[in-house]
Amino acid sequence: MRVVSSGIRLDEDSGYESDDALLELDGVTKYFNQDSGLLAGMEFEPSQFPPISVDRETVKAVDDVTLEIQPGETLGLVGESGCGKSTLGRTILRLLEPTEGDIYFKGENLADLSGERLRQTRSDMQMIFQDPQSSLDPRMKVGQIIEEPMRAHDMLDDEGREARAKELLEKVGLDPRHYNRHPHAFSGGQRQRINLARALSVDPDFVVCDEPVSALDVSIQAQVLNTMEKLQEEFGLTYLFIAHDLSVIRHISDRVAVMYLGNIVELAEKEELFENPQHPYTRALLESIPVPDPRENGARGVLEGEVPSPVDPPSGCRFRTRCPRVIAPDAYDWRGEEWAQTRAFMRAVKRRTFEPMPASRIETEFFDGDLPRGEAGSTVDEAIELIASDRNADIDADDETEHWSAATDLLLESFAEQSICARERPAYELEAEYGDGEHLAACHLHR
Amino acid sequence: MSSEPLLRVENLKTQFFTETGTVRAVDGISFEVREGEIVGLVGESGAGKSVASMSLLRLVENPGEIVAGEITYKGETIFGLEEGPDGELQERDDMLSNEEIRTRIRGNEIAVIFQDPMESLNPVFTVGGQLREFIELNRGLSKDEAKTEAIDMLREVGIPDPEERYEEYPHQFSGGMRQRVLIAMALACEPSLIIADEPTTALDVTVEGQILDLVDDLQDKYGTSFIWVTHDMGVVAEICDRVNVMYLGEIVEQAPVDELFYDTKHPYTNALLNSIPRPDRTVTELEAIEGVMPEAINPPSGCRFHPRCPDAREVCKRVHPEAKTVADADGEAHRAACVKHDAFDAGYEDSSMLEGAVGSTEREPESELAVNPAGDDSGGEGRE
Ligand code: SF4
Ligand code: SF4
Repeated sequence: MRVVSSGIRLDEDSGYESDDALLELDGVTKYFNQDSGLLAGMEFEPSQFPPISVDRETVKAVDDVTLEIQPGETLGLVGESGCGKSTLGRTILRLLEPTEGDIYFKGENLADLSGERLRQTRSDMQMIFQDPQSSLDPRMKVGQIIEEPMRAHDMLDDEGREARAKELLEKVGLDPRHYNRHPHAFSGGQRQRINLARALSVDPDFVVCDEPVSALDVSIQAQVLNTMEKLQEEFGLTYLFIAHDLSVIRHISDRVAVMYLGNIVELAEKEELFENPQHPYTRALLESIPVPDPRENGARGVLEGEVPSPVDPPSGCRFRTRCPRVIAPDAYDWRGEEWAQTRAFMRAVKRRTFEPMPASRIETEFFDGDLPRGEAGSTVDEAIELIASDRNADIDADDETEHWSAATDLLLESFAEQSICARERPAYELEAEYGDGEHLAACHLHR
Repeated sequence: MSSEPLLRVENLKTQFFTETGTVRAVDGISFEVREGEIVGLVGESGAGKSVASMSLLRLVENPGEIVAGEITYKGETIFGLEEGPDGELQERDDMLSNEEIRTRIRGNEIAVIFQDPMESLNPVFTVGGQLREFIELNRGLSKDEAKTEAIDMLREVGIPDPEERYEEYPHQFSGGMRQRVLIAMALACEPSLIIADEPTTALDVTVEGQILDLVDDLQDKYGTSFIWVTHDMGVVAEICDRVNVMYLGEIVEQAPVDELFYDTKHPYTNALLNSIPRPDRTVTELEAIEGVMPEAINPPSGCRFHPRCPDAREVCKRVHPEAKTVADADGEAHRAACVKHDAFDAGYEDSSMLEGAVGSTEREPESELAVNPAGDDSGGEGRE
């Protein structure tokens, strides 16, 4: 299914004539060490000099990502800010050194390459960034910008490079006569075209596109997306398309991977992912997008809370602190709504979303007046005792705060952390309903 | 038929006087906001929507100036000119003074929420302190009462653990949480109108969903009217009651939200809707709009959209269409500024096609160049 290369390809043989994946990630992990930045992280240590140590914390930006990208396809990588998608993109290109795991390009482990092979591979993998403004050197002319990577890789002679740059300008939809202009003379959309030409100048097989259209106005977005698709066909490119915009992802991708807090939580062919999402996070994402159709007023399905810190991500399933469907811990005997009510109560206490109120009112508001039976019920009761206003009438604000966190700890330890969602990392392969591609969902609901 | 709207804007013009010329950022727009409704002001960068919304509170900064039009809020004149004895235009007597705008209108009657909450929060004071002080000053409450009120407001807008978070600084809040704080601040004085300028654009989609839900809830509870400035047709569909679509300083279409999407009357709105990828279905071919929006410093003759319009004809280069009622949307006027419609009687049907018109042929991205050879789409507005 490889697309025929056009005359613009420098090296017809550089194509990857194999049925195997073009790119393969195996357990790729990227951690950053950073100062915790706050005074709280500073410790007084008289035994050393200087006697102060700064807490170093590890940001688990990308954790154990395994996936394959097939030649000629566009894999969409979608997630919210801070989920690790850009870090993953950069790690694949080795702009960042992976902390663990292996990256294979055309079957070769990138870590094993050196010398000429490494240089060759580097030119085969290119990247375009979100902000076309800052990624173009304002002092250089467009021609120089496009030729720079060729020069770095010692490709062609001066004349050849100029001819190729002009040809590329035309290919990306710009006027070759603008070869001598400076980037500031171009609009945002045009600058992103210059970036495209530059990335393509060394005839790559694989391009990581990191939010390439998110800084552009909608009408310009469509122009650039169309050009990218045209170029993909013409140059036989494989894209890893990173974006937060699910509509753009749906348009451009063949397959889609959804990322949350450093993990891929779901991966499937586009149609399958959008029409038959199987991970609660993917569902929440899809339900949150405002649809440009006023007659479509489905529930917004709002997610509770915020993304936890990647310094200390939740155990098991990383989405569990916000998941609307966390699985009931087996240790208790639940009936009817009991688990759903307990879960809601636990989160409300943790996030302290209600004002102190008497015990009986808590019971009515969260449990319809009926606490769960058995052990679960006694634990809930214990938590209520800690926070109910009529049980703690004469404590001061500090004590009150302490009581709330004691209640939170009690509830989390007794319930949230007993769930399979907290105890095992989920990874399941499902039957696809649309198409016959693989469908991976990291959620224990599919156990 | 209907009673006096909450806010009425008539023929508003705001210009920026720059070295390179006069930027007609807002060029004669008229719209109104009624009690309890959310009115959208939609457009791409440089369309003038932010300048328009800032003009409503007379927040336009030098070298910008409101040069014409009338803004009436609850019967009071926020802006209005009349001819003076010397024949020059001068501010009307009944126009509110700067002092009155500052003390009576801004915050108390009309509040603003910006895209970047960091601009509105002081990084060196705690979030709670800022909110408390704001309430203290504007509502004449004691310090303690104001603090209780502030904590209540924080809880109301969904800040978890408000007692604790009250003591924290803005940088300790996530973007979504900061935007909630601004909403709390905007609501604190129970204004009748809130101008929200792309308040969810910088937020992640799940956070945006949370904020939109919050706005729905609060609007139900307080009956506040909103002017929602955005470029996102999804957000418009989701929350707006009526919509104004702006292009190059003008309102080109004005309709209730359902009619805007299902009975679109302006080719720009139509092109915009066709160019966006959809979250709810797979679109294989995106119909991009040709070219870029020209600068407001020297807008095209006739209809300003004509260099990019797929329906443009010769007449469009000559006749400048002012928005007119072109359809009736359940008793509501549906207005559009396009000579295609009979209401304009401009001879569109008989006019010849424009040379090199786009028609329905494939759109080449190259044309982005033709329209704007200098390619500087930054416009002169600075704000958007
Ligand atoms: S594993 Fe549990 S917490 Fe994670 S998504 Fe599935 S149900 Fe939710
Ligand atoms: S007036 Fe002419 S150019 Fe303008 S929108 Fe209508 S058809 Fe297009």
